Amino acid sequence: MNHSVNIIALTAEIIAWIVIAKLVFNSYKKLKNKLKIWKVIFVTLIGLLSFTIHLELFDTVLKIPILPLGVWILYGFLKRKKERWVTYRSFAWIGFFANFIFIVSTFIAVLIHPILYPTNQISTYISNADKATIIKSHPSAENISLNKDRLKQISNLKQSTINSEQWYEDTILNKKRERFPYLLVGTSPKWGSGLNTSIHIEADGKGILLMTEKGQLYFRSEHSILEEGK
Amino acid sequence: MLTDKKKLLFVIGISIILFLFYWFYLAKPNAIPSNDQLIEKMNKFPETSVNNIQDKILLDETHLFVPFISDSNDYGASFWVWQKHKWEVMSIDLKGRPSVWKINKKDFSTYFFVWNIHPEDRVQHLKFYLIKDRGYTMANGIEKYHPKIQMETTISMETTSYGINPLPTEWIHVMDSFTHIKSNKAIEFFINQLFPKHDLYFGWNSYDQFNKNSFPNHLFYGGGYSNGNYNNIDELYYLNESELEFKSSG
Repeated sequence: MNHSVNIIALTAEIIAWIVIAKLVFNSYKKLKNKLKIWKVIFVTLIGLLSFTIHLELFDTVLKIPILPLGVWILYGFLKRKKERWVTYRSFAWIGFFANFIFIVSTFIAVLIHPILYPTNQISTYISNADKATIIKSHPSAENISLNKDRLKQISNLKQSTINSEQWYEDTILNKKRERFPYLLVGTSPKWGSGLNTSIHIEADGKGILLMTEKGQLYFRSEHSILEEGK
Repeated sequence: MLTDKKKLLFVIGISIILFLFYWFYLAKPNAIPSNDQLIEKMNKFPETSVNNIQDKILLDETHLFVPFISDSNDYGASFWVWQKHKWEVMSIDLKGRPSVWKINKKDFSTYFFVWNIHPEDRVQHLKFYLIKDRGYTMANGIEKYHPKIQMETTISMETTSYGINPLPTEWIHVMDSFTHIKSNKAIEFFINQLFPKHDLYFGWNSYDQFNKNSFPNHLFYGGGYSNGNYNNIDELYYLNESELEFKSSG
């Protein structure tokens, strides 16, 4: 039940920070009058501050920096001595530029992620089911239990269509017997995918409705993963 | 000589700061307040006239639930937190309406249902519910279906008018799984039925000795006091039977 962390996004962010650190270090080496290193780091971090617009692309929110607020703030404080501003200026701008490095790294992470973790395969979302248990989440649930052997063989299930409106109407007409009266808990997604899910199981035990942060996926199986209760 | 003195002052200063920090933020209470102390503190609020403390129930070291009876024969509940080395009353509900006390909002295993219902209401069973409304969406060719979740737990009210109950373990699993698919956002419980947000929320209702659904009439016209900065206590939504689904309902 532990929260899965997106290791690709995390790695990309760490690499972005390393690139930024390298840029800062290179400009620092070129300086004639050495500044205190903590001041350089501080100025770079302030330089990061910016007015951003949020742009959604491929289900990912990108923060596009528009106005270099941090650079302006630093200019406001440091402009009195021209020389001092000139030395700090490059670091302030590296800070602002770093925003773009983060965008690039996010973008690369988003492109790599589905290669390692295919989004249309159920095994990406249910990779380990050793501790899986079934929960009756609606009164229409029957007295059943989980067939763990069957659950372990679901890796090649085919994706199926979500007929949301029809399911909804059917349930209302069918005396409010919920189509998905069970929840499967205790499974984990592929390590490092960050693809946490809520897993609804259909009344016949053959349908699996996955809810992820981004949307829903529906898989159908030939055999039920449930069996008569003990 | 002077520098030694300075050093000494520095050490003393740091020690005092550390001690104050320990005293106000870390030190655990060694006793819970006496009934008289509790009554005195509560009766400072204009509308409160507590007469009798029924019990003092520690939920953990620093959270205390105190059911009481007032001069006007109302059954109420008060919520105390050990803060800055004092037991402070965070909320008083003059009618002990079923509520959830979230000790640590991010950890569902620290949530407690609490109540104090007048014995004259003759409630035999209290039921608590975890609900998520059914719904569907279609947008840009992407369809989503949200199954209904309705789980319940029954509490028998035979001995006392008041009580506390942690969430059933299964509920915690369900709530955790839905929290994980929300990025960086703590789960929110929308009590308002008018705006179903496809989120989980809690509800309750009560049954008499004939297993008939009946609202405890003493809970009407409740008042109370609460510390505005403390929002870890939520009154629960009362579910009419018509809002519930059954094994084979019509």
